[in-house]
Amino acid sequence: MTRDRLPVTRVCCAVYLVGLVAASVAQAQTLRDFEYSRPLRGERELKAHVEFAAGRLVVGPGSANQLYQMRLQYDADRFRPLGSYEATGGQVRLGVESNGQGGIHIGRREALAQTATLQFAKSVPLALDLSLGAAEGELELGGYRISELNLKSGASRLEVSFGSPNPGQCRSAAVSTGAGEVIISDAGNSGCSRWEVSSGVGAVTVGLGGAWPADAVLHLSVAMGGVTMQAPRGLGVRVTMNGFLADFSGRDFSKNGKVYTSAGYERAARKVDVQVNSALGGVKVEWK
Amino acid sequence: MPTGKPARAAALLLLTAVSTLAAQSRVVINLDKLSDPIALEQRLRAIGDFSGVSVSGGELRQGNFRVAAGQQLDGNLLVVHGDAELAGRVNGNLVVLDGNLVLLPGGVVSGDALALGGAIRDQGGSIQGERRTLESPAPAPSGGSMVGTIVSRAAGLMGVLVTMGLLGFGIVLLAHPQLETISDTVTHSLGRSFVTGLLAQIVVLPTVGMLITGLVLSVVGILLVPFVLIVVPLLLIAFAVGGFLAVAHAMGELRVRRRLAGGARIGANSYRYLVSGLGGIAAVWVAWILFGWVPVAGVLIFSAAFLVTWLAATIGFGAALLSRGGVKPAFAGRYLPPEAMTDEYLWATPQFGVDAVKRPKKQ
Repeated sequence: MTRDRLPVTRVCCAVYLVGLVAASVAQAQTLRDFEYSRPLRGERELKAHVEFAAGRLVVGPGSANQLYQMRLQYDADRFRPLGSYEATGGQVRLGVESNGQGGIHIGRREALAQTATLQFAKSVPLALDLSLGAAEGELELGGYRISELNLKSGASRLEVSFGSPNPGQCRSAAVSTGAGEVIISDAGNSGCSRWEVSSGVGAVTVGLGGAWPADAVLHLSVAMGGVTMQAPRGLGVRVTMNGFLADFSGRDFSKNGKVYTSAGYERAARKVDVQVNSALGGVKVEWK
Repeated sequence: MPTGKPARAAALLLLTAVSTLAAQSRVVINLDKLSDPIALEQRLRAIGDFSGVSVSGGELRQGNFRVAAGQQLDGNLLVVHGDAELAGRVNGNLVVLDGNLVLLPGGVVSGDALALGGAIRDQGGSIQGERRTLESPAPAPSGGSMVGTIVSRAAGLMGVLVTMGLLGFGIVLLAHPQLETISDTVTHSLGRSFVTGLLAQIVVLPTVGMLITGLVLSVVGILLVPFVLIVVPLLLIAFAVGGFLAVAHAMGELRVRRRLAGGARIGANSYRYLVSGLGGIAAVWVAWILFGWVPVAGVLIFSAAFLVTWLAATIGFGAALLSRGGVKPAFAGRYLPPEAMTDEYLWATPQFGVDAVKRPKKQ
């Protein structure tokens, strides 16, 4: 005698149907375009706070008639755009923030390609504060009147370049990265005489080229990552190593205790003093 | 005059309609701050009928709207479901919902401008405040819909199933006794097979590494290294796949025998066992295909499906090793019950490495 298998078949069919219907009802993820800009109206300073959790961020060349401009393509299911200006403090918030509905995602489809392109006025002193998550960024800050730079990133890959000298005066620049990779090119053009770079387990490359307006101090805090400094011939570089198992490598340096001094340091027109605090990281100087 | 229940129902309906209209007419939109376009868009899209909606300190227009040259509008302006064309001046903020803002020469917005579900087309005008556009959602560039993902995953599962099924049929055709031996080892020595498979997974790489190191150190054995590098992985794959199919075979056999015991009239052969067993393992993955998109639960279902598959593969690998690839049925439970072991049988028929019992010497 054959057992009645009809209920099992019905249950299976019902499960299939429920799954298909629920899946078709569920919203597909979407990208939205958001543009935000403000014309230049004689502002004297701009403090820009940029938050960008995931995607690709580009800071392009400066604009002549806009105080700031943002072109954003964002994942509307997980983020919401940021775009607000406070006239009294001259502060603008840009980027995206989580809308709290991210949930747990698996698979590459969920990682939508968010992109943000930012531009700021070249004529206005700019204090730039960027907080990045798992982003990929290209920041061309050459020609901007950077008054202060503060860049924090989690697991990002960033290229920060100063293609032309800063016509203004920069107080300081700080770059902090967790597990990402940061490449800074022509830091001398930034006009910042004080740099602070801290790295967790990521790799940091600091290009010391460019037109240094004055002697500079570079503080390096390295946990386990590696820092490579690319210095032009003629620049005086002195590296002071502090820390546990920190490793230094570089040609044409004389060693005196924990201090490594480049040949011709005293005669150099511009000098960069590098203070290294490192646990297990390595510091390397390459001459270009 | 109507009386009774119909009259009460009609009055109630009228009251509801009036209160609804009154509620709609009370909707007032404030456009003084446009810094949160998402919230404003959600609020505007929640309104079905704009006839009872007003703009605080301004006006609302439905459909295409034009401010002519020389014309001035004081206050904020909301244009819904149409384009706003400006040749004149708006002294305030301007919001367009599901339409474009077209700035003609001479057109001026003294405040901020926001286009929701549209664009700002500057043809010679100016916006003196901030400019925002939030375009309509675009479909995701990759991956397609949820149904597409499900179909894609289902096709992948089907492909794996067909491949495993064909491999299994080949083994049944060419190495049936070996498959049955491994399958019986799975059935009768499940725990031992699992432990063996688990240990094998742990030691397989170090063992191969040591083997290659030994060959290299022996100098002469270097010639054998390429051979080992090719043969050992192939053997491991053969054991893993064969063992996995044997587990499916054992599962299918168990199910078919239970159905036969229940009185079903079905054929009992290894092909059916394989199909049934593979279907059982695939059922867990079907659950992931259908409900893998659900947050949290999807991850748990995937983990469960992965665990089940790994368990089957580990047990099968261990059974294949225990049975030396299906050659030795030492753990396959093929022994005679003690009562069948008569003196004559044991004397005449050595079994499983046990020497034939010698006749007792005569005293």
